[in-house]
Amino acid sequence: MTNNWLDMQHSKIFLIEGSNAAENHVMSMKWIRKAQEKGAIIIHVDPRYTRTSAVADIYARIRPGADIAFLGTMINYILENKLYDEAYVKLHTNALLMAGTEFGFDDGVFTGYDEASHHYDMESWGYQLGADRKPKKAASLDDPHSVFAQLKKHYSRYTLEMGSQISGIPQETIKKIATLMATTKPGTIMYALGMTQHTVGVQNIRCYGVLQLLLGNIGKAGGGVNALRGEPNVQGASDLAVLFGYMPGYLNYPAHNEPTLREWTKNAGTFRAKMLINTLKAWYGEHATAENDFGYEWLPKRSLKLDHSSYGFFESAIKGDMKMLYVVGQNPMVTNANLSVTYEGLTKMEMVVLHELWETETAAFWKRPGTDPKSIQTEVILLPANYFMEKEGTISNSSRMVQWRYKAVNGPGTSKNDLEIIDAVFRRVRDLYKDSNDPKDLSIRNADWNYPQQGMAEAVLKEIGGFDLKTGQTVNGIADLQADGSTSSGCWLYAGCFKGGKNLSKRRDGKTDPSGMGIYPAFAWSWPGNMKVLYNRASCDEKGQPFDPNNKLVWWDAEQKKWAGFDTPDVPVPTDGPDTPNGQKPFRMNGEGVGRLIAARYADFDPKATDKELPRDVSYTPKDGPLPEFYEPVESPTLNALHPQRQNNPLLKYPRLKGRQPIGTVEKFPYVLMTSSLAEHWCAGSTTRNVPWLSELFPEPVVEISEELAAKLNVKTGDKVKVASARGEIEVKASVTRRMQTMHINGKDVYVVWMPYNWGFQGLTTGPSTNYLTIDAVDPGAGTQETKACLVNVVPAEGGNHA
Amino acid sequence: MPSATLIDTTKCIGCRACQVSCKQWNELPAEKTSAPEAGLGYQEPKRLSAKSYVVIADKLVDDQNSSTGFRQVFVKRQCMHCDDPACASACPVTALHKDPSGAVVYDKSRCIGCRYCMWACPWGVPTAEWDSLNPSIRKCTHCADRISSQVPEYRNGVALTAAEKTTWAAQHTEPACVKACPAGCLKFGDRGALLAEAKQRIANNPGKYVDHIYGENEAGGTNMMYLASAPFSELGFPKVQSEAFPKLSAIALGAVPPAVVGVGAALSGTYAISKRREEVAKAEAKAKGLHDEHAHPEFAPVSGNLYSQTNKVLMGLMGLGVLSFVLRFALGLGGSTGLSDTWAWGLWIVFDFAWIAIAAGAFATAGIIYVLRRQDLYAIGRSAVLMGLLSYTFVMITLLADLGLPWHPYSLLLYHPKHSAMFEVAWCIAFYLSVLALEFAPVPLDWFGMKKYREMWNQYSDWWVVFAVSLFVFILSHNLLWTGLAAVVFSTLAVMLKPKPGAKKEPIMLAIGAITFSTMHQSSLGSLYLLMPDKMSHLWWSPILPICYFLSAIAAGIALMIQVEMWIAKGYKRSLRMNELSSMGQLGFWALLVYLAVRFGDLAVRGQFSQIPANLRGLDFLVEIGLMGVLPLILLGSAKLRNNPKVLNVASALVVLGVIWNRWNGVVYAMDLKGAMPQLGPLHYMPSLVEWGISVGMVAATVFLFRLGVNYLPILPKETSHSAAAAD
Repeated sequence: MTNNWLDMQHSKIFLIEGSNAAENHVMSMKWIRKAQEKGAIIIHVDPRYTRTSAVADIYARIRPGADIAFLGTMINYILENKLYDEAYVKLHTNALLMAGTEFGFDDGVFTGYDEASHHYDMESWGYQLGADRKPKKAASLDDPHSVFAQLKKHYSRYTLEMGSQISGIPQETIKKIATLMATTKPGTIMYALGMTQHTVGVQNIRCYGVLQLLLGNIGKAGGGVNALRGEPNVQGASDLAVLFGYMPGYLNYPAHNEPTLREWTKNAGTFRAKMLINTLKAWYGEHATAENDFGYEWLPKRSLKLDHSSYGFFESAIKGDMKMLYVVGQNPMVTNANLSVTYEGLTKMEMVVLHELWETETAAFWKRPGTDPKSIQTEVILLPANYFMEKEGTISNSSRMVQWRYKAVNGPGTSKNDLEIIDAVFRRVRDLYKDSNDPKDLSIRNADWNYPQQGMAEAVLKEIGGFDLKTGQTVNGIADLQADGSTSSGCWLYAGCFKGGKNLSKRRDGKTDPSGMGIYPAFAWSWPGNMKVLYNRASCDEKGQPFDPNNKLVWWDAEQKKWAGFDTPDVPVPTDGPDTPNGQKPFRMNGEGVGRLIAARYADFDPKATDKELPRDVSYTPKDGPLPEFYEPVESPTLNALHPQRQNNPLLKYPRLKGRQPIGTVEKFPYVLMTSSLAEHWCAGSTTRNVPWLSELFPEPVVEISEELAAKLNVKTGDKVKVASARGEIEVKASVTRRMQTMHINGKDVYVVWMPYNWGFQGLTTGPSTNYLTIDAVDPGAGTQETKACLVNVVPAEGGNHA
Repeated sequence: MPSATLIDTTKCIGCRACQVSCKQWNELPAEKTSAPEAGLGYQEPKRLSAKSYVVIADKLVDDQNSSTGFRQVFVKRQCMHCDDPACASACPVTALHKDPSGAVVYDKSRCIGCRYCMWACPWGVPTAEWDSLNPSIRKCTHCADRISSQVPEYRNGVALTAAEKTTWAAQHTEPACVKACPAGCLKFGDRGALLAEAKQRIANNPGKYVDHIYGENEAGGTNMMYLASAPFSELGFPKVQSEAFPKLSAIALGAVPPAVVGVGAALSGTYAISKRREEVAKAEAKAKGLHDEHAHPEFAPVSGNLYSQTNKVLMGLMGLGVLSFVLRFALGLGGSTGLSDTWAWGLWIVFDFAWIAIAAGAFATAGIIYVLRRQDLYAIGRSAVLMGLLSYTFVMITLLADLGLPWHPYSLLLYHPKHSAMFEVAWCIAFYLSVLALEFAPVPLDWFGMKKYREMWNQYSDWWVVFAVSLFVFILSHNLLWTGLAAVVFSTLAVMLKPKPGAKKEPIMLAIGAITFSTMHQSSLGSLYLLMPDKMSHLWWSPILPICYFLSAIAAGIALMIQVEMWIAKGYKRSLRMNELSSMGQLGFWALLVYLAVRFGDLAVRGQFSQIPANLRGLDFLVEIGLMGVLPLILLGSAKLRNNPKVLNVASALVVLGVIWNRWNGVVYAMDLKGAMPQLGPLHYMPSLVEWGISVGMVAATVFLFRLGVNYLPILPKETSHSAAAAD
């Protein structure tokens, strides 16, 4: 989240798209309801009328996977009708920067596309640079070479008619939503997996960034782009590098073409290199020195040619390249798309180790119904783990708030918490390697890993929070971190969470709120630097004064000569005022310092730097395009109306495994299937399906179909139906409801059906796993599967309940 | 003001955290559910039960302003916590009662498991633990136990700090559901303040809410109050009268103590007049030199074979009854019966109601003989009393099977509710049974020559009536004035009726006691339904239902005695005493006439004749009232017709059947049961073999023991030439 849960109460309008907040992020409703009390408008855009739609003022039914068509149309409408916040756009975005002259979009692809390798050469996606290597600036938004003009040009194809016929949302509704968003401020956008589980997942979210920058909603209380992250500490796990492409704090994981720290820094910039050095100091301690690149070379490098995602694992196992899987806190035998591949991959592993509360489907894959256990050679080791109430440690919520949780009860039997298990395994592995001279083992031998058995979690948090290694004291924040090895921090974003030697995540002052806005600075601790609203500098004008005096977060205090506020000011240097370059960098992690409408390729060089080859910051550019473009899902009921010859994301590689990843056609599989989780069951359901009370609330999976489709299929609620995709078929009961309705897409009727994915063959309530049907095509950038849209057929099951 | 919860359905998001937190606080097990059911969305469980106190109803409401044409509305349903709850007023042992906070709470240690609360509640809230051998009634308690709970000293063996205690206390100041609600839908507080806030919300948001706070006035006001954006009828809420339900039965039950005194006094007067007439007649006869025409007949056992074919069949059926009885307690109510939260009462109650009605023959006959001094009918007195005694005994035994917690009978002694018809019926039947036993006692005492006990009977039986009546009045009224008045009236009577030295003691006082208690409980059985104007068809339900029940029972009782006499004559190949039977038929005519006149008058006053539906229910009504009411009335009305044994047989049988059918209708066909909240409709009910086994077994036992009594005790009059001649 750019903002936070409590901040939602300041929003005057909510665009909830790709999220069923009322069901899957129930607590958000506490703050949305407060906003509603003050008259806030709720817009819910979703293919399915859900409990969130029930609380919305406007519900817009959208076809699964058509979000960019809808949002692109909104962007176009806002641009065409000058509904954007011009002052904000000019000041805080790259709208006035001059785009490269070669840049363009034609035939459904951006310039630089190589068909053979499904790859973009990003060379043409940069700015026109001046002699100082900084982007040239246009005089006005009308300059045809400005980023703004390019943006306008790109989205000019997204007419209301086009957007409506692709997305299924009536033109009037799109207009209404765009107008309301543009005239009601501040407004926020909330999303979750409904936006990300697509082969255009990254670009879906980029639309939000563009939209909110145009509307001037980023950095303001009640604004922002808010990813709703769930209970399973998704935020904390992501922050601490659960994602295969990252080091802690979203630093790029070193790749095979970055053998040295200098090579890595060329791609990531010196600012991030400093942070990486602090992580390496935390990991390797005294072994990490400036001379040995702080141990950079000991890190195993990942090959960019191999797929290290959770889909890559199983495919590698099938190819014979992967022997062992260590699974903690995940149940891929339920949650991965195209489960047949996951299953086959598991059978090919020599060993699978799990920390689990229950014998999950992944732990029990070898006795899956219909499987002969004797035919499987995989050795499965299931280590009993503790539930979150049985251990202490932190959880980071969507608000980036790091909160300490105390242990409530002891775990049963010999169960241990994940940290204890990993610590024990690591120490044993290190013992085994203690006499090794193999350079690849140095990473283990040199690790600074000596946590106390009592208070281990807190010791780890302290290490993450960072030390001044000269004094041994904890650091105060990111600004204290040095690039010379004199400080350490396990994750730079968390630097200062142990400020003054105190575990700030334990703070529970829910009363002190100088702002009166619900900021509560002394309640727990939020990264970075206890900041509640990211980019909050953008809530101020050129002079550093709030755009809206009634909605103040931070401001430039001319008397004190520093940035002040209720929130931690998001500025590079708190004493650098608006008249300095640092005082105009609300988006300081971008090289440009401003919000990026076009995610141009750009590296920012510090003129004073000694090494002219090393940039200070490198801005992130999605590999599949600097601007969101609408592409159909891999399995779609219709042709891409914008460019029929370019149906899907051009960077998509699918199928990856011949024969195991078939693509269904609309002729054989006429209906669109979308899947999601439920309020009652959490992810794989490993926990919730073992809780009788929750099993009672939602006892088995269903397929939700419209009355029209039910009439066509001659099925009633409660009848068993067979749902089949090109990848598998399962039988579930039908739930016929008015909440699902026929859509009209590109002149054709499209029937959308929905299924929850939370079931498997283990637990108190069992049921078929929907993911046998779903497609494992993934977003080229994020590696997220397209579980929100695929094609299926639905027929009454044989021996179904037809009376 | 009591504590209340305001439920603003426009804020509910249907997350069902309230359902789960309720189960957590109340430690309720999960139910086996099976999604989905048409029209209910993902509502799970579908309805309240002993395992679920809360259910979020999932509603799609038409809305032309919405792009979809509908809106989804979630409605939390649970006990309404009435200001004056029907369930608590129904409860005979105050197991359900009002907590000082205003919550309706339950004390299992008092409960006898009669399940009257389940039928009394207009919303179908109380539910029973059908799968338990020791079943409770379960429902939401508004977390009265949570709010009044003490802060614990320890958690997991670790002492709580002061701060933790403060936190704990703060977290237990409102019900678990309110605490868990993330959407601000639930608000707990003072009822008056919440009502004001609800009105303010309606005023502040024109067009958002319907102008109706459900619970403000429903059932006299409830502590659960609802705001909604759609008419409550579309959200599954029944239209409920604004007067508190207990007021309906309070009038009838409040009338019991004065009625006891009144009946006592009236019977004394009637007796005095009848006695005077009798003496005048006697004197006249003596003057004319005639012998007493109505000299008491001699009674003697009738020889019979214990192992006759009939007795063997009866013993087989009794065996079935015993087996069913064992199964009932081995398997529990849920396991052995077809009863459910819809059908809290079933076959057994039908039998009880009908049986009690027709067993009114005992008190009616005794009254006719001893109070109205119709000594001519003396011959049928003993069989009538024995039939009544056996019937009531087996009704009581059936009730033991029917009660969920029959091992809590002492509750009836300890707790005295204000207006519970069930309480009245329970005590009244118990006293009546004692009176019946005393009425019958001289037969065995004399036969077996137990002089000492017979002497005790002579001494004390009248005073037992005085004591029982006074105690009865006291526990019902807790009013010393009425108790004293009853004691005075009945004591006076007892003194008056004290036989002159040497004279034979007549059970007149017992007959008066029997009539008094019968009047009370026969009518109170009708009062049981007064709480159910929304469930019982108004062709049957009436505010004067108690009077109808009483009057119809007299008619049925007399008709049954005619039948019994005919069966005896047939069974023992005895001559029919047509004189007596015809007289009984005439009395039956008058009783039926009064009953039907009152019934017709009541239906007419309430304008129900125009409401007879053209369906099975209408036909049912016409059959009951016409075929089994008006037709026998005509037959019995003519002396010529009723003197014909065949006609008398048919007519009396129709009267008996008519009243049985009336009682059956009361429990079954006149009822529009909707099941447990949210009242989606009745569950199917089919009485189980165990239910049939017990009911049939008890009837068989009654008949068998009656036959045994006739065989071994002097129940029937000796056959005389006089009576034989009359039959010819």
